[in-house]
Amino acid sequence: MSSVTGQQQLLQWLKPEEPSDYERDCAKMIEPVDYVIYFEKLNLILAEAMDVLVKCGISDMSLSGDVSVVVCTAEGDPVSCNLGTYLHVISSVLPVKYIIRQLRNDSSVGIHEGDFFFCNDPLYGNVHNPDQIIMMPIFHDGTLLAWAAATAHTNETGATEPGGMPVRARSRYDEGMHLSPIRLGERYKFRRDLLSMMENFASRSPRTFLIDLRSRVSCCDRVRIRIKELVQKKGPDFLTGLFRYILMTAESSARDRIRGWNDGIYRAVVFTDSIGLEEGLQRVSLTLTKAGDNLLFDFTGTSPEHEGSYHAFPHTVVAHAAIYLFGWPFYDLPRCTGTLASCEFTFPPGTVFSPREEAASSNSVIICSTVMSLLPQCFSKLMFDSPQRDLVGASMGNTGSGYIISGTNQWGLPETSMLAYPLNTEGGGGRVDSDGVDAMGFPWCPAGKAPNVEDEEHSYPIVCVSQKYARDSCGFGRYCGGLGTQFAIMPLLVDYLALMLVSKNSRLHTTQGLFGGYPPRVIPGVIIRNTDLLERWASGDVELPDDIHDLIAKRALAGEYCFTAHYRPTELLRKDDIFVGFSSGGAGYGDVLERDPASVIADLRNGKISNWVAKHVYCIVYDPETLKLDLDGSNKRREEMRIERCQNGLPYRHFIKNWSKHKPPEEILRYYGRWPDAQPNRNIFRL
Amino acid sequence: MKVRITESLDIDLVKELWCCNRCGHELISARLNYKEGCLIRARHPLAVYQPVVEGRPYTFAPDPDWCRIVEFYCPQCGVMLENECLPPGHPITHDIELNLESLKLKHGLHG
Ligand SMILES: [Zn+2]
Repeated sequence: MSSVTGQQQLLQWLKPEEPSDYERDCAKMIEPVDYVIYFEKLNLILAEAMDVLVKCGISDMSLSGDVSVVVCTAEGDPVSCNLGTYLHVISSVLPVKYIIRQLRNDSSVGIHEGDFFFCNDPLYGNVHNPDQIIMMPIFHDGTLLAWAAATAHTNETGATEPGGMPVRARSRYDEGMHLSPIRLGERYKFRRDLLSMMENFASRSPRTFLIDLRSRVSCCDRVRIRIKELVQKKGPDFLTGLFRYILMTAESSARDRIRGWNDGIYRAVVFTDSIGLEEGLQRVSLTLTKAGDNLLFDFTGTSPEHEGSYHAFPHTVVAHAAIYLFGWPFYDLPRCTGTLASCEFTFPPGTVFSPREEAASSNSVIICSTVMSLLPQCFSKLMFDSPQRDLVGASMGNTGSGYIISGTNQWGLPETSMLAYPLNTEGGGGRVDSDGVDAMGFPWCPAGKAPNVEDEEHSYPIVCVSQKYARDSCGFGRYCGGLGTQFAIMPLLVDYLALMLVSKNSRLHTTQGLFGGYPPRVIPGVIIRNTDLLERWASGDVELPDDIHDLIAKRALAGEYCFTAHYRPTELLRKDDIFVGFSSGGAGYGDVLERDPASVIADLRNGKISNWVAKHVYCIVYDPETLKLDLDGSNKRREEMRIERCQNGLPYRHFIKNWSKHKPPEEILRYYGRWPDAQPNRNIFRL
Repeated sequence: MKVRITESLDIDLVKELWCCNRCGHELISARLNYKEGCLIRARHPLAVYQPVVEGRPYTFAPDPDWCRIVEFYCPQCGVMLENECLPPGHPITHDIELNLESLKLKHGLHG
């Protein structure tokens, strides 16, 4: 592919640009009080622009928070953002820097006032091709001063399956539209020729595509207008100085914080059970080395690339690391490249995080959820003995229940969407001092919102059979993870919909528990075919369980119950078929036998856990009728369990001698790499 | 002098030992993987996760062919210091390898 930017090049572009003498001089003029006032002013400008983006957009993913707006320096370093997701703070940098380096001085393109550019190709810095970015240069008296960049996930790219994230993709050639940075607009107007081309790519859902595209442009333009007002008041030197001051302050603040953590090496491994195309065990491995004020993230030991769709490129891995880094250890620092300047990332070639360019990557977010599980593991151990102990905690569910529906909607229009409720209701992880938050949100997008039933039924030709917390879905522990949710829908007002499940975690969970807490349970794909639900409702049947667990366990409806993996390629969901989905709970923190017995009783009372969990996992004694706690009985029972642990546990060498004789069945290991070190062990051919 | 490193692990900086934070039991040299000083048990997923539906493989409980829960206990008080969900036979992770010299300096011990 011509002019494709190399993976290493993109990683280097994530470092802040060296300041020019002019920028240094401008930064010297900024007083700390200016920084405080005008950094906040930038935040307010971006908050206003985000309102424009979300209110003008219509896709469920815009509502869910898979959006961001960023303001960058003239050379492409982001200095502030509004969210959405931190993913796009990173992914905005790269196409802007590509334009600056490759197109600015090209006489056939150039950069002019009134231009706006588009990009959705991961080879140029996007997270995956449904994440589409508009970039607008901001000029003052003919000089380029800044950039505005707005990104939103749009659910259609013209791929082999609807929804922009085709699980069966074998290469990028199955993934539809990939556009390197192009000038989509001039003199503040869309180029009609390019717009038609893109509309045709997204013809499964053109209305959503075009409206979301315009919302990004409107958002960038609002940033441009407000920045120009600021420059008229304070002058271009002030803005340039403010930007550089933010980058420098962010870097020095992050380095100060890192210095306070314990030097050492921190390791974690997590596993996933699908490559998109089919099931298969894969490992993702992180070795985090902290020395002085530097952090090195080394992903050596990660399973090799494969024929499926669950890959990511290195910059996408960094973008997922940024979700945790900006969200937790650096939550109070500017979301800019300066904050991450102390972080180095290395990837050996040929892993799922460093595949060849033709690899499918539209499901990069699924494999990268491993990164969002590895970082809390390592950083909790890094930060426990530090002033940041209150940020220690297990990871969110990080399953990503991406359920896509596509077809002609109840208004007769073609429509493809990812249902936002399950995505936006994963449980938070158990914390150092408290339980995880139930249905906390979208692990990728901390500021997203879950739609309510009425919104979903209005937007799509479906009826929501259930939408609420899911019992026993949290990771258990001294402080348990937050609950995930249950979700069941049936097509309504249409004869059928196409349904695809982009997910994983039906054989094992991608998260690990922390400090003795357990990861959450796993999730199957569930469809009940040809049910009698509508008839039962019509006849006034009130006996049906309102909890999906009870409904599927008791087979309370007529119909065929199909349990599969949690990823499912595109298939039809017909009238009277019910699709059942779940979001994952968060991982648990600390030993279950240390959970306050009164908290376990409270969990039972509010339906968070079953009697089985109270008895077998938390080992408390109580009256199952009245839920009255027997504290002495519970303490005695727990003491017996501790003694049992010591009686059944083996010393390390003895344990390893037995354990190392085991190995998963060969059919599970097809995509793992060499056992057990996950080194590449076969050639991958893509056509 | 003890420093708390995780929820239930301390390091005695003078003796250079990993210790249980709950009972004080001395596990092993702080220059080694603390897991080498634990009692370890690999548990079947059904010990922790109750299936919602009958039959295999998609029951809401993890699949034993794919993973086991490896639990690390203090040999004296039985507290679970950590666990890992690992495919059967997968190596144990050496998750914390601290620079002890640097840790001692930080806490005011020299050499
Ligand atoms: Zn102990």
